[in-house]
Amino acid sequence: METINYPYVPNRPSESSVLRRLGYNKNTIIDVSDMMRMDNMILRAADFCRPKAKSCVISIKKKKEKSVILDNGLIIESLKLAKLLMNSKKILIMGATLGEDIVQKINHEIGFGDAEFGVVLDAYASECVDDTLSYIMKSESLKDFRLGGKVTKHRFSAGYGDLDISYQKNFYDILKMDEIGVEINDSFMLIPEKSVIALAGLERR
Amino acid sequence: MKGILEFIKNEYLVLDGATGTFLQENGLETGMCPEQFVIDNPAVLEKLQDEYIKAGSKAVYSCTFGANRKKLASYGLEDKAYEMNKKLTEITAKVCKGRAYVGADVGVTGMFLEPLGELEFEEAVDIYKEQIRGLVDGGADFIALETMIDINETRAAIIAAKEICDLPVFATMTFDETGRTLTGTSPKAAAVILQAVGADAVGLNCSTGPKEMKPFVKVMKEVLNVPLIVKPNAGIPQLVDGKTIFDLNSDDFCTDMLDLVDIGADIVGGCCGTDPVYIGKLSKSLKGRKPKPIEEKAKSILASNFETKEIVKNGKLFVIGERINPTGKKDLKEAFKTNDISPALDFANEQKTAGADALDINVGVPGIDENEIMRKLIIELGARMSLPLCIDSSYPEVIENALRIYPGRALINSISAEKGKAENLLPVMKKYGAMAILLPIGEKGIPKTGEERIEIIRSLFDKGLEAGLKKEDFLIDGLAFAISSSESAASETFKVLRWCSENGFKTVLGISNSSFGLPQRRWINSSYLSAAMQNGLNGAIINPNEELLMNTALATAAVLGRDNDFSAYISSITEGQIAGRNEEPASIRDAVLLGKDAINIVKKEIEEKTPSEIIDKDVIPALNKVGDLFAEKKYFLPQLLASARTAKSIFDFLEPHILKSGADIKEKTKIVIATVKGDIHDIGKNLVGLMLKNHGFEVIDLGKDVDKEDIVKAVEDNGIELVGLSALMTTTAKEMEKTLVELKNRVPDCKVMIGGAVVTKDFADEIGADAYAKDAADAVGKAKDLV
Repeated sequence: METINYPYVPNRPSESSVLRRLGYNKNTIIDVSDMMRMDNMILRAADFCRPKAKSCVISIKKKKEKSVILDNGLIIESLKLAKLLMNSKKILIMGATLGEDIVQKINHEIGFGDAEFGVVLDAYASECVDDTLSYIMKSESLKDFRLGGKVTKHRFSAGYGDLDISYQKNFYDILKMDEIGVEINDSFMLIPEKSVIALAGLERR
Repeated sequence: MKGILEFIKNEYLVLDGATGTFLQENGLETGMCPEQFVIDNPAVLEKLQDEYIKAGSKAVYSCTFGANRKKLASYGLEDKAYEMNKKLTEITAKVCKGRAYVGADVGVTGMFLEPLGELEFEEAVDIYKEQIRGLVDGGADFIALETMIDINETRAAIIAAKEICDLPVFATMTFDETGRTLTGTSPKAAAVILQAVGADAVGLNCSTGPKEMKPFVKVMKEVLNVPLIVKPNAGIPQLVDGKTIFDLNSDDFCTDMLDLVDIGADIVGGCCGTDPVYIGKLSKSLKGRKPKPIEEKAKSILASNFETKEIVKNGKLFVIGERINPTGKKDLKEAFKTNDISPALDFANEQKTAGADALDINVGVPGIDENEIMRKLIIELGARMSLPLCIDSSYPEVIENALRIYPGRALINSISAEKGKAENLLPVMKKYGAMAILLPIGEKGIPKTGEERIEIIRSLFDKGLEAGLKKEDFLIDGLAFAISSSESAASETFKVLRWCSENGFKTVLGISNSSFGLPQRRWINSSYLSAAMQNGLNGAIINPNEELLMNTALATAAVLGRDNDFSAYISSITEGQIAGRNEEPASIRDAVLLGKDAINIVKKEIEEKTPSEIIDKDVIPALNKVGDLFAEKKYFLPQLLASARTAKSIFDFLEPHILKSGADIKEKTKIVIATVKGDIHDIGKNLVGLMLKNHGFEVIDLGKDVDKEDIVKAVEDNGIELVGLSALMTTTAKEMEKTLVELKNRVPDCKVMIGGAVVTKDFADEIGADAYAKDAADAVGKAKDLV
């Protein structure tokens, strides 16, 4: 199966999404100078985050109420995923990582440096890796948009809902995530921490 | 028929609407190649295009949107690109004959150019050349790039077209509702870049409806000197009864389109969801209306992949950061010698933060492959840097290669009247749409007097005009000489600046040259800069990290009335205060509440209060208040940490005072924290550790993926009574239970609190944990309760 490499993804999470992740809301009391300092930290955080990603599109061979069978023979048992892919002919598997350095930097800042910046960087990194998946979905959607193609609004990851975490290994292997420096452990967790794999469906309008 | 560009001068050009959906309704099945389908069933397309022309389209697009070899490869047709494009254009040309213009449609390759993907720029140019040859031979009247998502891929296609034919090139990109292409380019930047590289009409299509495009059309019109194209969808797709429909009917679409025409759209059509009915109504509503002549905007605008930066005659100083230059920088020189560009990337970020408007890029080191290092830097910075670049090299070919691949509108540093320079670089500047610094240095070297320099400027500018360039494309370097070399050094330079200002040229200077040979150069540099600005200087090549220079530039602009409402000055001064965080809080309580430095106040208060009083009456109540504000969601995480940090600094400061007073220092409570076995997430746990430390706990952090045996051992060895366990995944949360059971068996008095993304109070109760902490602040409270 052919995978697409995204050696550099030009996404920049919005400031509001990073602030939201940090707990900011309309009731938050913060003076202008602290808010501007926060803006600067978010800008600095952006310089540390350089996501890499991979994606792969596989045709769906068969769909049942509680499972989906892919062209490569993989049977995925999940009612929720089957529901998400209800109108899809193909599945988009995507993975993204920010690499090990960013995790070390976050931990260093929280433990020994500027903890405020550490948590801002952590929030930015989480948003950034998530946003990378949105970028892949948008890019896939644009490819075929004029012929009525689109990507499902939502995506899904192993370990959530009824999609067993063990599928993470199947998706990991399909994407060859090792090629972008991601490992998987016995508990099916992706290493380093800011790494994700998700699924979406390719459907027609 | 007259040429299409001539047509547009006098009439609105109405394009066609959607094609893909019509083909699908007439036999094109999922998985089929649309281009091959049309070749096999030409009548289907012919019928549609005939309807469009009858409805009022004055140009229709060939069905060649996906007919490049990369896209065709997914159908195994990659070897047929030329002949398919020729054939498909012939089909449209036959329908159009004498009635409408043939727009030869070109779309994306479906691949990303490096560094976003693996496609090299030259390969992209080659792919487009192959396609465009077929389009030209098939009878195209103009090339129509549309639904483009990446600015550099669009540039590659324009360059390809311009290198193999003389046909006009129209280019439209697609922007989402936030006003960005997929790869982050703003509508204004796209307009500047595409017009500069030679597009004959520029605009936007697909993704949204006409209403959503309104703000984008407005900003594009403000910078375009070529016709503006608008080809929106019939609104936004909506899911109705399981079917996607676009939310604008033909009347509403038409009304919204007329708004865009009023703003300045010159070429109009439809994209997804539109059909001949939409185009017919649009065409009818434009009957009798004539487009306004396009107003010439003599603006000097540079652009990165993302944003634009304008050099404004009476605006604040345009700062070009000079740091990416190996002269006098041993480390940078050594890095370039080993092909390492990372220090240059650091310089780029640092200068952006310091307030530069553009970045000069000079990689000149004897013995290195300057072309290769420049290429690497341009690819990296082109993809990530929001500031435009200034390409600085002594070698015209290095400049040309860089301009070719740079996904923005760059500034050339520089073009002089030395032999071969202008002849080589002016055509290159025109081809890639760059701006350039004109350097009044001639064959005889550097002219001493202002008059001689002005003479060279006139001659260079004349050559520029001959090459098709305009005044606003140039910045004139007045040549800053060391003031120590001659009493008239500054006045001769200022003479050039004044002449340029009076004659409508914008100017730039390398300021640091002025102070060579003198001590305390920064004073000279700043005074020189201020004086130069008073003589009309618009831009300077300086180190933006030099605060004195940057502040002088801001203050001088404010004094000279070049800073509207002093906005740049005031905003910069405010930011400076923030960086220093120099507002003194009124009390210790305020310092903790606001997370500000408190030591100066504590130093004063310790003369009147005991350490315990300070801790018990000021710090602890303030910390409790912060905890309450966080719980009420009135504070968010960074504020919580800032307050905790302030509190810790006060505790640390007071510790020796407590010892000195003879009072007992309470022994810190120890806590073991760990992320359980199988789980590698420890950022959240580390945050808990930090907060506990800041609140006076001694934290033994065992890290992540920790076996229960190691946790129990650490508890036994250290006589611990409190443990915090973390897990992020449902699967690893189960490991918490095993650890908890083991702990309770072997150290029955030990209290355990748990937390993590998937952990809940119910889960904590279920497995018998002593407490559940929902976040780092809660963990501190629960830890205090448990001990």
